[in-house]
Amino acid sequence: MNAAASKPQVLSVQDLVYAYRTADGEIEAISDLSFAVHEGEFVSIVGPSGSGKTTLMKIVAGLLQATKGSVRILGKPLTGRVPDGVALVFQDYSRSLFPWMTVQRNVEFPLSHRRASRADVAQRSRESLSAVGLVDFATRYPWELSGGMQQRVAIARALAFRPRLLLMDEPFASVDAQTRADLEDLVADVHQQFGTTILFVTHDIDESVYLSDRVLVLSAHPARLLLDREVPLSRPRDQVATRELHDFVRLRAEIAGLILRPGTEKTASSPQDTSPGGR
Amino acid sequence: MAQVRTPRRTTAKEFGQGIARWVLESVALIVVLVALWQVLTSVFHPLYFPTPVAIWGQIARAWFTPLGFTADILPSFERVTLGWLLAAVIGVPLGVAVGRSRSFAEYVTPLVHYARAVPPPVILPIFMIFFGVGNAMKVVFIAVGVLWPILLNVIKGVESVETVQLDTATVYGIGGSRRLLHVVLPAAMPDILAGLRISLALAFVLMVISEMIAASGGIGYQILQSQAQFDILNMWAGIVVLAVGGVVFNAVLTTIEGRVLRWHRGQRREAL
Repeated sequence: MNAAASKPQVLSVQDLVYAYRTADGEIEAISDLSFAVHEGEFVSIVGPSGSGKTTLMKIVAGLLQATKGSVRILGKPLTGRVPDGVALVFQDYSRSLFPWMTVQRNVEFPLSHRRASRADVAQRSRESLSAVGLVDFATRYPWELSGGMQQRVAIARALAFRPRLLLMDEPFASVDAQTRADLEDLVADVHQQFGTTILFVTHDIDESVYLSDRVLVLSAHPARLLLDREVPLSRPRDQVATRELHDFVRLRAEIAGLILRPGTEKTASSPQDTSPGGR
Repeated sequence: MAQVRTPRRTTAKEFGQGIARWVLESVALIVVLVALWQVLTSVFHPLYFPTPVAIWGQIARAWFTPLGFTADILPSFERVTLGWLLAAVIGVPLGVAVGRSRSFAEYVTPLVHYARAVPPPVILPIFMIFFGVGNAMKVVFIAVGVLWPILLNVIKGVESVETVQLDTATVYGIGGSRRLLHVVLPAAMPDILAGLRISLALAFVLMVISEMIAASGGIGYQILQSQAQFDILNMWAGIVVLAVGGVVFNAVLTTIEGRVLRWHRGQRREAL
């Protein structure tokens, strides 16, 4: 059923709980969440705003510590440190890029602190800048570029890092619709071209179905897994044709039902087993 | 790529025009005012206001001489430079250390505000008790006086570094001293340099005060001496030398700032 499921797990989340303290006591933002992402897979997490999606990303990236449960990356448990080989593309591209560095310096910055030769670093940055179509803008500064181009720089920086797992936290939430479509196709291309494993967070149901191999639907307050579903659409996908397909429309409707009419999830679907042998 | 737009870059011609306009705007007004002063003073001969020509003659005669340089001009500017540098060398690292820790900053910042609220001249007598009236006292006095604006600005700059920028560095495995050097410091640089510029102006004020109260040489000392001896012309000459020195120091710092913060100005221009 799922070709990716037979591949090794890049990310495995088991019984994850995240709670934070407020004046009114402890609030659970994430409740007993379990899922896995396999090598080469493109997995989207979709859920209403405030469903702890960003919190989940920060935990996986090692920026926040889980209250309970385990997160394993390439089999290694997170131990309060930033995991190796994970890159994160933030929604807020303008703050995530360093304005005192040129586009090229921004892309090379994470590499220059690893044991990589000068030539290798230059080659990697050229390769990833050309993948996002920004080779001609290497000597510009981020603030000289439009929002969409800035997010491309952030994507190029993540690609040059050659992550085993690429996390994208609502990366296209702050760009206009046309740019968004362009960037979606760019990320889909990059996923195909580099075989990057991607975990993509969005609140846009269409986007999650259009981009991914598998969609995870989360509930809000606290975040629970409502649905874990393969996307039965072939690649490459097309912004117009794919969105007209029966499978696309049906899956979108199913997810919309879960998110927009909470409480009906039990009849709609039950969370599926995510372990590799389970399906 | 639908969203390509032409980024605004200053051409050489625009740059030249900008300089020409700046010279015209800033220098033209000064020339007009000095000329007006010359005309008024040479017509009315007021007792306490010599003509600019006479002041220039006095500067050339009494100040721009080997003795004038070594006895008054150099010591004054040396005190300013050393005191300011001492404050910068202490204030910037200390401010970074305080600003990096939120809880530490919460304790220290009110303290710094109190310290800054004390007018530096009132601590001068204390300094004279401990350090005498020599050069070292003046340098330390200037350093202590200008430390607070540096500290406050550095703390503010380091505290307000974007969390997303810090998180980005962390995710890419850049932590500790490398993150401090390559992310925190550049991000805080606009505030750090603002603090250094404010404190440079204050350093000049404190230099003059320390020289007027306790010195046997320096521009401030000469100005006060000339006034006491009714040498009005020399008093004015000292004031002009001091003012020109202040302008030159500030110009040097502004030039450095412009180079270091080219990205910051560009970013703000684009944000408008």
